[in-house]
Formats: sequence, C-alpha cells, structure tokens
Amino acid sequence: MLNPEQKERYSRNIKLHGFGEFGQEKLLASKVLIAGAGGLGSPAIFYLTAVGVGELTIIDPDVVISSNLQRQIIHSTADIQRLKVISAKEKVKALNPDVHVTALAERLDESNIRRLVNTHDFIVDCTDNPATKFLINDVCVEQKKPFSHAGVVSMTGQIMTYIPGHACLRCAFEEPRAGTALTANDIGVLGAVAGTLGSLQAAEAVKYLAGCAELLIDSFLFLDVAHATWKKAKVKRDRYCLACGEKANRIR
Amino acid sequence: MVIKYYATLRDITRTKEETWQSPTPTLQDLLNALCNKYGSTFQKWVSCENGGYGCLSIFLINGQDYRSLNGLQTQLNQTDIISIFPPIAGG
Repeated sequence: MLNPEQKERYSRNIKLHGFGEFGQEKLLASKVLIAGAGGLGSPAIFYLTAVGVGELTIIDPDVVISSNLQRQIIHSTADIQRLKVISAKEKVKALNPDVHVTALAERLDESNIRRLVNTHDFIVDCTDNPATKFLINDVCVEQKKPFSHAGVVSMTGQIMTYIPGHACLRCAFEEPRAGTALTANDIGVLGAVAGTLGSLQAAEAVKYLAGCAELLIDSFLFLDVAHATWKKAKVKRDRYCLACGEKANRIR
Repeated sequence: MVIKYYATLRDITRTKEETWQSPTPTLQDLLNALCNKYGSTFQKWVSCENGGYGCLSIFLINGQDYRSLNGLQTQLNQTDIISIFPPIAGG
C-alpha cells in the first residue's frame, strides 16, 4: 500500500495509462541491476531512482575521471577520483529515500554475474564493451531474465529489450572480436546521445516491471543524431542462435 | 535499389544511402560488390571471420531480416531497400 507521501510523489506515474497504484507498488517491490555507472548508466540510474524502483544495485569498478564528465551526468567535478558507484549512490539517496541502493565497486564478470542476475528482476546493461554485453545476454538467456541492451558511440546508438522467448542480442549480432568494436576512446561520444539511450533503457525497465505498454522486443531501435534519423529494425529470433536457439549448448 | 547505411558504415562509405544500379542478383552478389567498392574496413563490418557475411552486422531487405527470407541467396529487385546496421557497443 502506498502511503500519502508516496501517492503524491508518484502521482504522475500513477496517472499513466495502464500504470495506476498497482504499477507503482510493483515498482517499489522490484529489484533492478544496473551494470555500469557511465554514459548510459547515469540517466538510467537517475530515472529508475526518480520513478521509484524499490531496490537498485549498481556495479562498476571504475573511478570518475575528468573526461567522463561531458556525458556521465550523475557525477560532478568534485567526484573526480572517487568510485563511480559511491558517487551514484549519494545521488540516488538524495533524490529518493524510497530507493534502497547497493553499490558494488567491482567488475561484472563470470565470477559474480550469475548470482547477481539471479537475485534481480530486471537487468539494465549500461556497460561499455562488447564482451560484457554478450556475457550479460548469455547469462540472462540462461536464467530467463529480462534485460535492456544499449550501446552508444560517436553520435549513434542502438537499443533492444530481451524477454524470454524472444530474440536476444546474439540472434542479431555475433560477438565482435576483442579490439574490433569502436569505443568512445577511439571516436568520441556525444553526451546527449548516451543520455537518450540510457533514458530509454529506464523506460523499458519501468514498462516491464509495472506491466504496462509495449516493449522493444524482437527489434532494435537505431538512433543516428548526426543525420537526425531513427530506424526501427525487426530482428528474427535465430533458431540456431548459440545463446537462445533450440539446440543451444551452454556457451559459457 | 537503395542501400542505407547506419552508424560507422556512414563514415566508411561517406554517405547515408546510395542508389545502386549495377546488376547484383542476390544479397551475396551485392555484398561482394560493396566490399570491392569500399575496401577492407567496410568488409570487416559485414563479413565473418571464416568467410561469408553477416556475423557482425544486421542486413534488412525492405525491413525484413535477410535470414527470414532466403539468406544471402535472397533475390534482389531494383525496387528493394537494403539496410545495413553494424553493432554499437560503447556505454
């Protein structure tokens, strides 16, 4: 049951079509894992905090450096050299006392991912490298957990949502060989593009957890700000997919 | 037919789309011709390590995933729109 302060705080959520107090109660009872507190993670953390997800776990091993600050808006100049997860946790607590946040200053990898995916309702992939993105995909498929994938570089971005039974990241793309994918270090990234994609990831998580509206499944949305274009591309589930296909062997 | 490029492919080809009139009966023929035209950087994004095409990028023909059609052997028509999306992996 929402208390009077919560009914006021979340009144604009509750008024959304298909959302209601029941949707808000579901959000407050939900646990979301956010992998990465950088360009995608900053807006995702802010919006999932503001909307009232009950428990957030933020995992990122890095400290804030000055070249992060043009896009990683959850961190401030005073946070340089501080752990990103500690900086992010402070902002979450200041924004919404309803949200319980766990800060993990470690890398998401084979040693911890199964336990973390297993204990959360939805995973938001805000990581910055293909190896971790495919690890998240494979473990979420294995554990039948929904997740939001996004990637950004330069003035472009992509986003898709996975829920069990639908196309996964590996249905659409093979894992790029190490060192072949372009990163922000190579060709830069516009902060507002990362902000747009991270915000959409938060929206996907909210829609799933509150049980309202349509999800971005079996398709990718591609954003190219340099040419001011959006394109939605349908992706077919690959029956031979190494992660989710009918005869998929465990690839990890 | 029209070929639309996305993300880093727009930098490599220096265009977001082009009209293609050379005879390329199948998707495979088209990809062979595009790799000849744009060279190894383009080829890296559309090909597979062990030969063939389509491991890193998504190909759509008139909005349909090529794998739901006839794969690389899908016949192409002059009115088709081909879209090629490379992966974007930063965060």
